[in-house]
Parts: sequence; C-alpha cells; structure tokens
Amino acid sequence: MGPVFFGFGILLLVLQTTTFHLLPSWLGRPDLLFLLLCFIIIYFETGPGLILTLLLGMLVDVFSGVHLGLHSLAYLLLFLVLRTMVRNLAIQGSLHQIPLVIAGFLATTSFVHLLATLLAPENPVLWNWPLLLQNIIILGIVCLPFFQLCQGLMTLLDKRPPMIWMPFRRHPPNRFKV
Amino acid sequence: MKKRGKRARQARNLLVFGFVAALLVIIIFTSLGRKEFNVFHKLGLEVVGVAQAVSTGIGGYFGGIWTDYRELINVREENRRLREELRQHKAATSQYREAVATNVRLKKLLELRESLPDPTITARVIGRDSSLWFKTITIDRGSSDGVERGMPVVTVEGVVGQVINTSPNYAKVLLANDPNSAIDVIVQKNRVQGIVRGDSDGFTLHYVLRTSDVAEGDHVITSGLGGVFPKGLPVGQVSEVVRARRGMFQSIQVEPAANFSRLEHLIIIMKKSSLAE
Repeated sequence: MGPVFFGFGILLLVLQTTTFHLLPSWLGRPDLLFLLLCFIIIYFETGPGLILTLLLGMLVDVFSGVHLGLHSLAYLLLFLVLRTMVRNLAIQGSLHQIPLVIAGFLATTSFVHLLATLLAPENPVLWNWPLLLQNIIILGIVCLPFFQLCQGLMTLLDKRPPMIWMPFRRHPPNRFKV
Repeated sequence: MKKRGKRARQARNLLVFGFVAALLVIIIFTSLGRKEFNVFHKLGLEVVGVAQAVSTGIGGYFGGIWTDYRELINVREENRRLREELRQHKAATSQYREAVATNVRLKKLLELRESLPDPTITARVIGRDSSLWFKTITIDRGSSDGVERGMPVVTVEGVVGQVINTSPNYAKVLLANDPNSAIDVIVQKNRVQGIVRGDSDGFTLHYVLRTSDVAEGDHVITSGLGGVFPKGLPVGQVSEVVRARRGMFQSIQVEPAANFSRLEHLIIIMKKSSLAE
C-alpha cells in the first residue's frame, strides 16, 4: 500500500507544481499533498506512515523553498503531534479531522516560516494572512472528500487480487500442491 | 292513376334538365372566342376561389409544417456541420496565434541571447513552487548542460533569478521576488545604488539614501556588482517612494520587469559565479 500512496503523493506534487498555478488566484490552490500527508499520519501504521512522511517531506524540499530539510523536519514534527493527538482524542470520527488538519496546517506553515526566518534572519519572510486563510478554507472544504477518496483507494488496495503476474514473485516449490 | 303521375314527373324532370342544358350550351357558345369573364364565370371563380383559398391555406399550413420539419432536420445537420467547422477554424486560429506568439517570444529571446556577452543556454519552466513562503521554479536544464549553482537566469523582460540547485537534467531557480533573493542594482537615470530584495508582491529597493533623487517610473537595472548578474539588465520600475521623517533610507517599491506568473522560456547566462564555489 505504501508504494501506491507514495506514487499518489508524487502525482499530487507534480499536479501542484505544474497545473495548479493555472487556476485563478482568487480560487486558491489546494495543498492536496498536505492532505495526503495528514491522511497517512492518521490512518497508516506508525512505521510505514513515518517513512512515507519523511520521503514526501524530502520530495517537497526538492521542489519547494530554499533550505533543504525544512519540510522534512516540519512534516516529522507534524507526524509526532498529529499522531499523538489522534491517539489521545476521545472522538474518533470523520468531522473532527477537519480541525485537526487545519491545526496541523497552521502549525506546519508557522514552523516552516519560523525556521526559514531563523535560517536566514537577513531575509525575513513576510507573513501573509489572506493567503493563509484562503488555504485554510480550501483545506477545510476539500478535506473530507479527499479523505473519502483516500479511504476508497485504501479499500481498493486491500481487496486487490494477488499479483500473480509479477515477474519477481516467488513461486512455491510445488506449484501443483493444493 | 299512379302510372300517370309518374310519367308526368319524368316529363317535368326532362323539361328542367333540358332547359338547364340548353342554357349552359347557350352560355358556352356565347362565350366562345371571348376573353372576358361573363357573370357565370365570375360567379364560379368567386365561389371556387374561396374554396381554393381555404384549401391552399390549409395545404400551405400543413405543407409549411412539413417543409419546416424537413428543413429543421437539414438545419440541425447544417448547424452541426457549421459548429464543427467553426470549432476547427477556432482551433486553427488559436494554434496560429500561439505559433506567432511563440515565434515573437523566441525571436526576442534570440536577440537577447546574442546581445549578452557570456555564453547562454535557453531553458523551459517545468514546475513552480507550491508553498506559501517561497518562490522557486524548476527548469529543464541541469548540470549535464553546464548549468551551475549561482548562474543568473533572465528573460526578455528582465532579471528572473538565479540557479540554486542542479541535478543532471534539471535545475531549481530562486526567483528574484523571493525574500531570499538580493540583487545589486542601480537607478538608471542617476546611478544611485541599492539592493533589490523580493517581497510578496514585487521588489523592495533597500539602502537608498533619503537625499537621493528617486521617483516613480525610474528604471532599475543590475549594477554588475556582486558578480552574479551582468551589468545593465532590466530589473524593474520604481512604483512607490516613501520618505519617512526619520531614518537614513527611503522605502522604495519596485515593480518587476519580468512577469513571474507567466514565465515559460528563460535564458541562463553561463557565467561562473561566486556561489558556485
């Protein structure tokens, strides 16, 4: 499941960096990769979830920003905070995920902003409230449908037939054994 | 008695029919060779004419419906054909327009390339930074093409930024409107020096003394100092000047010469930079 979601993450990153800028600025650009990251943190097992989070963070570092490692670190922090919150929350439903995602987004962007300012204090990054609020609203709207889509993908992957066509799949020694 | 009555009736009928037939024969023969209607002709025409009119009207009505229906089918077919033709023509026009625009843009790029002292290489923008705080782009040229960290990137309109990371086939460019970018510039009219930094909307020109004469509309160009950008490249135009009561420097906003939201083809100046080391 992990590789598929990693591929999905790459697809979202490509979409975000190549086509989303064509959308009118008043409509905003949804950070779907961040939503995917939140989904992975909430629904995946700790090990695969952490690995995927770091891999995606590294990828984002390549295509975004100036300081490498910034997003990886921010996403790692997001993983720790969000995971702890999800585990300790009494409510386990779909609606509570919206404030979780929004809180996570605010925390991550603030952390990236803070770290970027600390790493280059001579070049302060301007805090942009309107843009931030626009992103938060978009995330709030898109969150649940996107999570539904990811759940669907997860269910589909769980139900898939065994991949007998895979060339490197190990066959049992006795193929005729029932 | 009965038989006699029947005969009398037959005789009467014969008389009436004979009279009418004789009258008709007389009328026909009297009108033979004439060109004008007589009373009977006119009467006939009036009566039949009304019927004809009504009949023609009804026939015309239904015939019209049928013709309309048939024509509607044809019109629908024709409409579809014309729409298809229009779509094709529009697509062709759009392609021609795009080709002309690309041609003009590439011609300008070529002119700029030839005017630059250092060797250059053209690149295409393939990706944009999607984060909130940073402004970078990805281009389709990398270290295998000779692109190195620190090389300046320009376009026909002016300065775009500089290369900050490379891989064999791709490179990341820090745009000049990113807060981490700083370019040494001069105001073209009076050679006042300053440093342009990126902010969210455009550029801010720093370190220009309050006594310096800088006004809206002044052109800002690269100074050549700093060793990254060649001298004289357009950076932007002064859009706002604020002289505060206190402080040594003016607050100057600069409208970028390059349109950062519409970058497509760029020129990388293959100049060794201090950043490369």
